[in-house]
Amino acid sequence: MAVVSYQKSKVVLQDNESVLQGLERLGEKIPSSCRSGACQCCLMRAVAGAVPAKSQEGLKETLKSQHYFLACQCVPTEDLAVTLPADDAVPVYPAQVISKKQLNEEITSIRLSCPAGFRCRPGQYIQVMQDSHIRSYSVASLPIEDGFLELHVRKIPGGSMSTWFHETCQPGMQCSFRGPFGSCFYVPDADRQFPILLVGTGSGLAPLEGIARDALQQEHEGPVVLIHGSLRESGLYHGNELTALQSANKAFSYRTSVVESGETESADIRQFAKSELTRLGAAGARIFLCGAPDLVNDLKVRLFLAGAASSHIHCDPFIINAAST
Amino acid sequence: MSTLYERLGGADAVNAAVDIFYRKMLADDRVNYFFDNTDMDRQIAKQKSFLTMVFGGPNNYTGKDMREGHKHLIKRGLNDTHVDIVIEHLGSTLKELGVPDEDIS
Ligand SMILES: Cc1cc2nc3c(=O)[nH]c(=O)nc-3n(C[C@H](O)[C@H](O)[C@H](O)COP(=O)(O)OP(=O)(O)OC[C@H]3O[C@@H](n4cnc5c(N)ncnc54)[C@H](O)[C@@H]3O)c2cc1C
Ligand code: HEM
Ligand code: FES
Repeated sequence: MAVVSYQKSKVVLQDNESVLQGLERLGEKIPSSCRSGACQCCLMRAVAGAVPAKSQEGLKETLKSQHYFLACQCVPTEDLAVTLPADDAVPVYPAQVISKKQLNEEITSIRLSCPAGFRCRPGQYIQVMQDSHIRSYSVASLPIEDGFLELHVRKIPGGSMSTWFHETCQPGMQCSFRGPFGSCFYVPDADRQFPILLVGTGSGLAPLEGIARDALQQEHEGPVVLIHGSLRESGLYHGNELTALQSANKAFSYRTSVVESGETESADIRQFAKSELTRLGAAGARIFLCGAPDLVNDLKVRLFLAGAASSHIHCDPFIINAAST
Repeated sequence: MSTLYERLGGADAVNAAVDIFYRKMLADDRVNYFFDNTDMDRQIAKQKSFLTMVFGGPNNYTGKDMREGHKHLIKRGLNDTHVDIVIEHLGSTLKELGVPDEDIS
């Protein structure tokens, strides 16, 4: 059985136990959130021993080569010595809350100052650090053009970070974050003609809005279709902004899918996304799916079966988990 | 002689082949229930490195031993009929990509 050393402690891992679980069993406080490899909050570094490839899936190459890994995904076959991330490889940035605005009943928009030296692509996510918690939030704005980082935070009953954003956080307050992470963003090709389909529900709109605006900013020429879904009309937000974006850009269409509306064409977001994909031409399309994990996973398979190339489907499932830290 | 991997057209062709093949598998009710709990991206990545190896291309196939990888499926009733279906879909995939019959066998 592999032995994991961390600071002054050592733990012998049990069968199929991850580094995260083993260290928590010892009483160590290791940041984590999704526990499924999606949020990268449990990032650690191996200073001795080799980590399995699975625990590095989705990490940037620079982090991989420095032996960074995700503790929740790491069931090692050999002994490891591990540390929390170092500031030089994963810098922590200070930011100021510029403004806060309720977008609908559940979702609030938070604008943070963009710290000097920080670069990210719209659609990537940052990890906000507050008390001992770390949580991932997607960047909805164009940091350079807009001059700020905008996050759309959905309130999770009993959730530590989302409650902090909704109830405690006020303009003028300081917070810190690290990042960027993730590969859900616009990458232009030699030609900018390919269709783009973006689908999400709830605060899944955050990265999608960023990606769509980024593509248009970079003068993407192919059609860009964004579908925002919700159970009720009141769950949608940024309708005015997106309608204005549609009026200003021939290439861009903003569509909504509201279950309650009963619209035959659009109420079922799964069917609607599939028919839009077919209309756009599945084979060459780039697809972005963000938000509720069940929907993201269902759409991923469905749109793949409808002809989309697996390498052109980019997903950010917002996996929330019973959190311990 | 060139490898089948080169004749197929290298990495891009293998990527296309795996997509077509995996799409056929997931659309086939005789076998798709085996994949209910399988992560699509991970499985596609494994299939790519596996097929690259089968076709004689450069690979770093590190998958589990085949028997090991399918043990839990055999418990769920995986048998030779399913293997025949896999071979049928792989064959028709390669045909669609224009691979000559003698290479397929
Ligand atoms: C890549 C990525 C990007 C993300 N981007 C965003 C974003 O842009 N905007 C955003 O709002 N969130 C986003 N999230 C989710 C976010 O990171 C947090 O997980 C979320 O805000 C909850 O954190 P918390 O500290 O409030 O809750 P925690 O303290 O972590 O507690 C979560 C609690 O909620 C419960 N729970 C689990 N699922 C649900 C559910 N569906 N509804 C209600 N309760 C549930 C759990 O059991 C647990 O008790 C993203 C997640 C990932 C992985
Ligand atoms: C024709 C022979 C076959 C070959 C060459 C083959 C190849 C492979 C390979 C290389 C893996 C990855 C193993 C790993 O590293 O985890 C795998 C996994 C898998 N195979 Fe096959 N396979 C074959 C037959 C089948 C059949 C008949 C089925 C069922 C219809 C099947 C279903 C699966 C599933 C579901 C997994 C993933 C298991 C998991 O989720 O862990 N395979 N296969
Ligand atoms: S990636 Fe490990 S906790 Fe989210």
